[in-house]
Amino acid sequence: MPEISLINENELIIKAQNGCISSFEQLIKKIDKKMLSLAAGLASTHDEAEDIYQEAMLTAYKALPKFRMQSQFSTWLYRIVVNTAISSRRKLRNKINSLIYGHSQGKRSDENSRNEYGENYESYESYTAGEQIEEPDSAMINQQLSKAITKALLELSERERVAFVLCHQQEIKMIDAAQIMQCSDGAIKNYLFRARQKMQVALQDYI
Amino acid sequence: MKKIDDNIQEELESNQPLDKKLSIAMKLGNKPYISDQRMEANRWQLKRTLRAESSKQSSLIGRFSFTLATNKLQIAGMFLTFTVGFLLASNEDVSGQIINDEANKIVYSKKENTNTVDARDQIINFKIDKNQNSTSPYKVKYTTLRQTKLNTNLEDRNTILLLTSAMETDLNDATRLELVDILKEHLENEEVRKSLSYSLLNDPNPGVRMIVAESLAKLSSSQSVRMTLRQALVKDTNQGVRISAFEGLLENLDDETINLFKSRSSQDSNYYIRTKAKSIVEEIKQKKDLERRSI
Repeated sequence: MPEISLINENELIIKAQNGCISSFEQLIKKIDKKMLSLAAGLASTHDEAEDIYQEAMLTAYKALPKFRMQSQFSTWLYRIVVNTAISSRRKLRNKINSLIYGHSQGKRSDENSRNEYGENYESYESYTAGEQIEEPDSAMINQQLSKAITKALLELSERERVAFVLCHQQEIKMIDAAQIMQCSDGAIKNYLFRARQKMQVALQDYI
Repeated sequence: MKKIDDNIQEELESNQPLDKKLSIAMKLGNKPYISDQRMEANRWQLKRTLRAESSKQSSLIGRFSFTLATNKLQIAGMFLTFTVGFLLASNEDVSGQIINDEANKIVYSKKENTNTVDARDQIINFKIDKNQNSTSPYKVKYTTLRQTKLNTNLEDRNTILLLTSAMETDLNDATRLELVDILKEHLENEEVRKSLSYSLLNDPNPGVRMIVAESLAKLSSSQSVRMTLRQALVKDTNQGVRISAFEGLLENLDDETINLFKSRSSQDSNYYIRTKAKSIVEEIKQKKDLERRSI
């Protein structure tokens, strides 16, 4: 498929704003893998990641008429994925809190396998695991590392976690991450600084 | 804030190796791997969701058009009342009027053009805009959908293109299954081969993929078809599809297929494929040994 040029992208946006589904699909096809990857980075399970992705894309389609092309389409879409992931976690937290009302938070029966919401630590397959090119030993180390990172990420605050995933996992530039999170560069640096400190402690056995 | 920023900046600079380490750790241990198949499944799911959402929106308009068609007089009266009220309020002249003709058609007439909406049409995206132009102060925009029956035959290239396009985009599993049944009779057509090859690697329904694999197996003499079958054998998540692709490949063994069978004979997750591939590889080896001895 040829690259979508800016003019072409604007044309597609206008068509999609008028309700053309195939234009919207064409528009997101170039970046949908990155969006699903980001959703997977912010979610705890495959199912949650895919729910976030589907919900975010539907939200984007519905909200597209309001998109004024003042930012890049991809930045706008990233922002929707991040917001959907955050609100999805909040909904989940509220639901679980209401279900386990009275149960003291922070005391987890099986700390190695469950997070504070009672979800399993089931991260998406890592790149290396997906490509199946590892030696068994390194695969095991990466699996352990993956679990440790997932667990450590859950200890971060919402915004620290998003900033860390955007900049370190998705390799998005700090300036773009600031646009996605709708905050200043300084704030992003602040979140990353705190996140790194916490991650350093949590991952001291690995790095 | 500036003070904090400066401190952070200093820390960031001094912690550069840690950043690198964390980035590497994230990539090694936590960067999600999105396979093509998973992505394609998500695209299909989104396709369905978006179309369901769109039809939910258009069904409101559809219901509106149905009401228009069934209660013509009442609706025409309501429209006239609304229009007159609107005109009185805006104190402007209107150049168009909405009338009801005898042939069950809702007609919007302007001075020169007449746009007709057939009762069989489903109206979507209905919109009335006010124009600055005093000669035609109102503009009605709409899109209609209508089920169309074509009198054609499968010798026609355009018909084949229409069917292959539907094969790749239609959301209804039953329709795609029916399309495979039609298209498999036309495997000599390159468009059909390409379309079925695409479906074998991308269709979300394993039933469709399996029938496509069986259909393409008949044409395994073609190099491109064999390549598609090999990809399906390696990548498909469904055992039935993989077995169909494997059996298709058995019909025409080339060097690449034999090499693939060699690797499958030891590592394939399916017992049947593993043992069958092993016996074929051994058979070929014995044949080669015999040939060598006879020379």
